[in-house]
Amino acid sequence: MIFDVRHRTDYSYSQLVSISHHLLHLEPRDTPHQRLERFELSIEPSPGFDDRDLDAFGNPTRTITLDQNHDELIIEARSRVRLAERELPSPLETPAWEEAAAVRLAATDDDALEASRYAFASPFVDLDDAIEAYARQSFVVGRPILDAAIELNSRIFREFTFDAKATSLATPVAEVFETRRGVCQDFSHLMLGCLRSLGLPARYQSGYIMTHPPAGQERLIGADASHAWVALWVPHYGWVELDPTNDCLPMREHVTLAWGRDYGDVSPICGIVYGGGAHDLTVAVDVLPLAAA
Amino acid sequence: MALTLSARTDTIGALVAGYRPPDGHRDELLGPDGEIRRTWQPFLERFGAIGADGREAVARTTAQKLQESGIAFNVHADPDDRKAAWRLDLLPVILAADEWQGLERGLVQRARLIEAVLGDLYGGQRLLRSGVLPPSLVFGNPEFLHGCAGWSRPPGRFLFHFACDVARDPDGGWRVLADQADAPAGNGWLLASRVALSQGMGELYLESGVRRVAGYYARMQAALQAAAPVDESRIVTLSPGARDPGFFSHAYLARYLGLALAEAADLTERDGQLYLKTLEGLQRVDVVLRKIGGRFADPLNLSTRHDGGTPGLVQAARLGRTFFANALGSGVLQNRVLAAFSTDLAETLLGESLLLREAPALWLGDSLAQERVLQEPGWVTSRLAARHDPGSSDRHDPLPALPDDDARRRFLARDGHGWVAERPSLLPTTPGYREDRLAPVHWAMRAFVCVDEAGYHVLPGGLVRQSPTAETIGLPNGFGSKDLWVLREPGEVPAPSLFTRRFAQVHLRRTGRDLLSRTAEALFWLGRNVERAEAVMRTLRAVLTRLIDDGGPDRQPELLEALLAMHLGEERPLDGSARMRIAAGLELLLHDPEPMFGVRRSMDGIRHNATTARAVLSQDGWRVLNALHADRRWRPAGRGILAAPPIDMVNDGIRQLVAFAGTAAENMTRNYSWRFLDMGRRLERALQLIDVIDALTGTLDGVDEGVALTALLEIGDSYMTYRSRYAVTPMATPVVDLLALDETNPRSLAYQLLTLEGHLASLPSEGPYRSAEQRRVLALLTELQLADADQLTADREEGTGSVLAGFFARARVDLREAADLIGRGYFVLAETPTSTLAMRRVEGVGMVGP
Repeated sequence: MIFDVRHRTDYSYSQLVSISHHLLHLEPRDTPHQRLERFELSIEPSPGFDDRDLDAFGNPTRTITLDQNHDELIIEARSRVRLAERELPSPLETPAWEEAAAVRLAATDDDALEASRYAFASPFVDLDDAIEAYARQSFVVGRPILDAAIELNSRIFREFTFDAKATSLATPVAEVFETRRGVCQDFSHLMLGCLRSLGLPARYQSGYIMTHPPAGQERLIGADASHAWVALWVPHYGWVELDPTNDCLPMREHVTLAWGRDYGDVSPICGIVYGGGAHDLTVAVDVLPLAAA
Repeated sequence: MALTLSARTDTIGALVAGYRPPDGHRDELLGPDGEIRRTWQPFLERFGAIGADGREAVARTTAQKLQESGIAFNVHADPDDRKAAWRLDLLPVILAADEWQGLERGLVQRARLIEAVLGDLYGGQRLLRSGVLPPSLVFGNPEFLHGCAGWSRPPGRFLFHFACDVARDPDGGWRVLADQADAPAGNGWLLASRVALSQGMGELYLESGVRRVAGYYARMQAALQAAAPVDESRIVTLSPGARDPGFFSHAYLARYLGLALAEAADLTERDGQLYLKTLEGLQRVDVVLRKIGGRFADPLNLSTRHDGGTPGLVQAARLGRTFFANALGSGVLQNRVLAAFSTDLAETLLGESLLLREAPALWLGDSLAQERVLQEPGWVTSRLAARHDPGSSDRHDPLPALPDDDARRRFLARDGHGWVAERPSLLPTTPGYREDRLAPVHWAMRAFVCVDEAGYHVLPGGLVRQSPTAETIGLPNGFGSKDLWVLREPGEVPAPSLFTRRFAQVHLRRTGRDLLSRTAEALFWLGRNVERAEAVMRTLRAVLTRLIDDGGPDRQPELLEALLAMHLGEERPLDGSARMRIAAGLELLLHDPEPMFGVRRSMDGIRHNATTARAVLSQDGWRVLNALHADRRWRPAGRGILAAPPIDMVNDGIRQLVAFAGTAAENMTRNYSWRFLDMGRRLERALQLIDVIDALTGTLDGVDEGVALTALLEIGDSYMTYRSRYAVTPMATPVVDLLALDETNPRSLAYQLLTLEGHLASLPSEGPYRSAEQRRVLALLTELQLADADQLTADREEGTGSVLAGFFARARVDLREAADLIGRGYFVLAETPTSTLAMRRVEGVGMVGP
């Protein structure tokens, strides 16, 4: 599959902003199943400083500074990515989950060491007894890791309600768990909390998902969205992605932007502004399939 | 030669009589044989020889010097708060050079070890790959900064300085209580204590052959200079601010080293370079002496859910344009992270055996340790990489609160890697000075090491903390301090003077180079607050004098109430008799921290502003303000104010404020610092004058005009001038001339506006025209200059809408607007950023259809 993604963010401020700094995670990274073929980033007004780099987790970043007074900022990223087919291990043949948890104490090779970075609580993912107990219902002793994870993925999908009004960015995972409501970011953080409370390495994946208009309707421009899901480290195989918001294993319709420990590491646009007063924000995302690969 | 205690009859005898250290602990004064150690004898003989009076004088001078320095844990705390007070015992801990040498070697080894481990963790991570360190010790540690790992140009070194909390074992060896690897705090306290004690002791100190600590600080200064990537470098101390318990220490150190004292909001990053926001724009920063925790240093590049920090700071460090002392991320080895691993690490990385023992500690990421802590009594759990500084909050053990061992096991299995279990270490004793006797007190200390191109250097001294208990976990907290003296060896030369000379030159050149926008703002408000305090005190004096001289509140209740109402406004008491209202009004203005224009509120403001602006205030000015704030008489007295009017207290207060004005006038260079202080003063005095002239030249029911005008002249500090010009009872026209129009009277409104206009004209500005604030002030001034007193006062008799009242109404609005414009024009760089992280979350959507 080839996708063209357009991601446009408009900020407008009620007062002048004298200076602003932004860290962008808007350029899709290459993955074993994804290649970036084209990327353009336009920023209005034009930044005084613009630096492309890789962050601590290997994601491409742009650090920009706007040092002229502005009351509006438009950032538009256009990417073309090619997704390859991926082969998943057979869930029942994956190792017992306890093997993955062992990387916290000893990393046997570089992959395991890399995975171990994602096995702990992080600023947006707190761990507690309730979440661990919830996870253990699926992760019984000796169960193959992916088999258990797929069940957990489904349980979160079934037992939690998608509700954009129930939570905000500040809602802690414990509250999401209690109210059983939230959005994809909440469900991802919750699932990370479940997996990490058992000591399992699990990443937060930031990206996009292609949506399908209801039957008989036209695709609406700008109606797609940023999305979040998780990836679990399976020993001897690598990372397997799971989307608890959609009860699926991403195969052909998830475009990856970046990964990290949680949202805070890879938010598409993180900004600090001086001045500005109140602000308005609109985001439009389109994920257009071009052709089968 | 040494004598046993019981046999002593000399001057020392009285001092040490009854000195009995507890069994099983090392004592610094007495050897195992119960005799006074040789190290202590010369000092004790001198200390005994000066007699009780001499010791009393030493104690008094030391206490006074300490108080003048403003030393505290929390500079904003109530001076009566015992937890916040800094108590320095008169007797230092005295160590011989050879005793010190062992510790010195151990500290240097430990610093080298930490440097090597940091270099590996933020570089190749061989220690993790080879299994020497478990990943959970590092990646499960919130102080490990992922954003600072794997840089193509890693920091040349991580440690610039390092502190280690140590206690002495019964055998004289040393053990590590905790490592301070991130942003070591406390050598400012140490320095202030040494300065006070050496001044208090005088000859006693000079004759004792104590190793000076100044050389260490000079070396730090030189090393910071040398670390700068360019020659003409600017070095700042990055402080967490005055709310931090360690602020005094940071500020004192910065002042001593001649560094700008900045907070995160004073810095800004542009194009990968850090800048300081000053009144004259952005000034490049080359070296940062970091006193804030690395985790919260950069909200943009280090994921955090906290506010604060400087966006882009990591960028500046990564590009190598700014040297950070210590490097960001050093906190990963803070506190007890190394405890369970240091022996192996010393072997692996240094090929040496560890010189300093570890106080007992279990790393709870290990399952055997998890079981032990549950099975064996006596272990206390706390956060592995926490920062425990004197004056900071206490430790918290999460385990006892959990319902049962199953819950504890679950907690430890999941989160144990972030926690340490410790057992107390026995503490040695050393003489404390108690009621002119020596009494054993338990002690531990924080020692300091700094690093330069030549190697590692240990500060010959320590921040000694006394402990109320015979054993400790970590550095004892909140029970008084001591100095530590390391004695020179025979023939050893005192610290070379080379450093002192070089240091003085640097200090001279840097003074007054940058005025931070935030400091300018604090000075402006300091000026306003001292003037506000003086105005209310002058009114209070007028009221109190009348209570005493004129026979109590019943003589002129209308006048007294009108005077109090000028400062109380809406807050003035309305109930009860005039007598009760006057008493209540006085109480509010004198002692209550609530009223906006009361003495206490202004004094709190003064304290806060002065602390922020301390680096640019003269030492004498600081002392005056400090003494004012420390005067306990301003606290509620509980006595009837009318029965014993506290006129002396108010007179003293006015005298101190006048003294501060004097130090500002005489001791401050006529630079921008002085201008902002004086602008605040002039603006506030103008506003206060307007209120008092307005109130006392109008018709006051039941008050004779002459009586009101006399009070006005008194409050306006112009009574003598008036009497020298007019030998008559005060009349409206000449009083208004003197207090509003006379440009030669430094207490007149015209004089305030003239001076204010002059300041505004000399501030840096863009463009050829006068600024809006200057124009407003100039318009008011011109109006006064063109007015004539007869006309102003004549109009007043015709009732409302007089010229003077109309002018005052306009002047109040214009002056407040001018203050606002000054703020926007000059303090705007001081504005703090808002994060837009919370603007947008990822909601995602469900897939619909196939």
